[in-house]
Amino acid sequence: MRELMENARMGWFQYTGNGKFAALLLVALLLFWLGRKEIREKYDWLVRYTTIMTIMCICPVTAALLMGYQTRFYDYQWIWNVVPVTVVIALAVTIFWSGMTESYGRGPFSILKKIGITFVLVALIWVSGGMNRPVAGVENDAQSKTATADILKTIREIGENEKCVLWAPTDILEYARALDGTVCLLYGRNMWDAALNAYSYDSYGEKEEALYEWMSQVEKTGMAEIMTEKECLDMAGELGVTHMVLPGGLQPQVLEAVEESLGTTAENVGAYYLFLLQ
Amino acid sequence: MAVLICIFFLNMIKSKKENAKVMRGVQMIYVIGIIVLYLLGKGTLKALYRKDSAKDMGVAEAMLTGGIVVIGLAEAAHMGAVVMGRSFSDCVFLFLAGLLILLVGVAVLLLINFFKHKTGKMPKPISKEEKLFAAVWLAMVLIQLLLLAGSGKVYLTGDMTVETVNTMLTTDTIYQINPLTGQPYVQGVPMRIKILCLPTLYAVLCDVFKYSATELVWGMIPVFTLLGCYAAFYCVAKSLFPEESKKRSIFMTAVVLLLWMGDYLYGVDGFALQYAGFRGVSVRMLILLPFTISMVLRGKWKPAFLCVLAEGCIVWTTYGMGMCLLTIALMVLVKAVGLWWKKASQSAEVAVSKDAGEDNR
Repeated sequence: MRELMENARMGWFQYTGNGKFAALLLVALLLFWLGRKEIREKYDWLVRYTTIMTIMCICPVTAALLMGYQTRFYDYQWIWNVVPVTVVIALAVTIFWSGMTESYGRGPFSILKKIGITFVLVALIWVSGGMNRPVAGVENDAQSKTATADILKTIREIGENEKCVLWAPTDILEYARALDGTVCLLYGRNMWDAALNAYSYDSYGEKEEALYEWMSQVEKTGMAEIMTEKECLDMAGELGVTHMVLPGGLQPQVLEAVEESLGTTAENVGAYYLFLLQ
Repeated sequence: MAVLICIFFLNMIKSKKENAKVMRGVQMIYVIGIIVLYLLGKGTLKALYRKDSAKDMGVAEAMLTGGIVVIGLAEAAHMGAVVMGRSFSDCVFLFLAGLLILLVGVAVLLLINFFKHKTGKMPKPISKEEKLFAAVWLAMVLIQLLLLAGSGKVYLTGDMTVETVNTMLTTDTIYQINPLTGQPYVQGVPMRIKILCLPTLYAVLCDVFKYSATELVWGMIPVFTLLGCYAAFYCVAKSLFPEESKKRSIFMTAVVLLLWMGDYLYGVDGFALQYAGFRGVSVRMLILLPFTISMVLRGKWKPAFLCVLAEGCIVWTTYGMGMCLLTIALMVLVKAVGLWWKKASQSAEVAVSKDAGEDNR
C-alpha cells in the first residue's frame, strides 16, 4: 500500500511534467466555478463530476484507491481516464470563445478580435500540450525494420521450409516476429520490456538471460567479455538456436573467434553478420 | 463525404507500392467497414429503442454501436474457439457466420422500420461561422489522417498485438503459442488475457482481406480508431449542445486541436490517437469512454452498458469491471448526491421560511 501511495504521489508530478493539460483542465474548471451561474447550472452534472474526479486523481490517497481499482498493471496516468479531460477543456474553450465573440458584436474590428482570441486559445493549447516535442518511445525505426526484413529474407533463401530459431541483437528481434510469424526467437521483447511479462506465466531460464547479456554487451561495445565465444555458442546450440546474427560493429577478434568455433564464415546481410548454427 | 475524401487521400499514401490491387483492397476495407458498422449499429439501436426515444441517435451513434456489436461478435467467436479448443480458422468461420446472420437480421429489421416510420425533418440553415469551423475541423482531421498513415510512428512498449495476430495467422491457434518467441507456452497465459478478443478480431480481418499484420494493425486500425474517436466526441457535442450546431462545430475543432497537440505522454488522449490507436486501452479511452459519457448525459443507459461490456472484451481489467463502469457509477452517484443536496436545501429553506412566518405571527 505504501508503494502504491508513493506511486500515486510521484505520478502526479510525472503526469504534469511534460504537458500541462492537467493545468488547463484546472483553469477550465475554475472558469466554470467562478463564471456565470447559468452556464455552471447548464453543465452542472459534468462539471461537478469532473471536479470531484480531478480532486480524487490529485489527492494521493484517493489516487492510490483508483490505482488499486485499475490494478497495478497500469501506471498512475491511466486513472485519469475517469476524468473527461478533453471533453471539459473543449467545452470550456467553446463557451469561452462563444461568450467572447458574442460580446464583440458586429463592429469594424470584431473579425480581428475574433482572430486574435482564436490565436490566443490555439497558442494556449499548443503550449500546454507539450508543443509537439518528440516523444520518447515513439519510433518509426524504418532502418531496423528493413534490416530485419533483409535478414529474414536471407534466412528463407538459405532454407525455405526449415525451422528457424533466431538469436540476434535487440533491434532485429524487436521486429522479427512482427514481420514474420513463422520465425522463432531464442527470447522475445519481454526480455527487455518488462511490461510484456504480465501477459504470460512463462519466464526465461538462466541460460537465455546469460546469452541476452552477452549479446547486449556485443551490441554496445563490440566485445564479448562475459563468457568466451565457444561457451556462448555451445549454450546457444543447447537451446536450439539455428541462426545467429551479430552486429556490424563487432571487434575483428570476436568475429574470428566465432567463425573459428563454428567452422564457417559469416554471411554479410546489410550491416549485420548472419551465421548458421545447425 | 468527408470520410470518402479521407479514404481517397489515404489510398494515395497507402498505394506507395503502386499496386492497384492493394489500393482497391485498402478502399474496400474502409468502405465495407464503415457500411457494416453503420448497418449493425442502426439495427441494434432500432432493436434497443423501438419508439421515438432514439430520435437523437444519428449516424455517429450508429457507427459506434456497430463497432461495439462487432467487438461482441468477435468475443463470441473468440471464446467459442478458445473454450472448445478449436483452431483459428474455425474462429474465422464462426465470426463470419455470426456477422452474416446479424446483417440479415438487421436488414429485415431496417426494412420493417423503413415502411413503418417516415419522418421528414427540414435541415436547419447553417451560418457562415459554422461552415468555417466545420471546414477547419475537416481540414485538420484530413491532415491528421495523412500524418497517421504516413508517419509510421508506433508506440510498441508493453504491446504485442502484431506478434499475437501473426502467431494466430501462421499457426492457426489462439493463445497456445507465445507470440514473442513463437515457441509453445510452458505455463500458459492468465485467463483474463485469454478472453481478450481484439487480436483475434484483427487476425480475422487480416485473414479475410489478406493483409499483413503490420499493415492492418499499425496502418489501418488507427484510422478506424481516429474516425470512431471523432464520432464519439461528436456524440458528446450533441449531448452538450443539443440545439446549438455552431457550438458543436467549435467544440469539435477544439477537440481536434487538443488531440493533435496533446501527445506528450502515453496515457493521454492525443498520444493514444497518434501512436497507439490499435491498442484496447486506446479504443477505450478515445471511443468507449466519450461515448459512455455522452450516453449517460442523455440518460441512454443501454448503449452505455454496451460500452462496459465492450471494454471487458478488449482491455485487461483484472476484476472484470473497468473504467466505463466506474465512470457510469460515479456519474450517477454525483447526480444522485446533487439531487439529494438540492432537495435537502430546498426543504431547509421551506422550514426556515415557515419558522420565520410563525415568528412573525
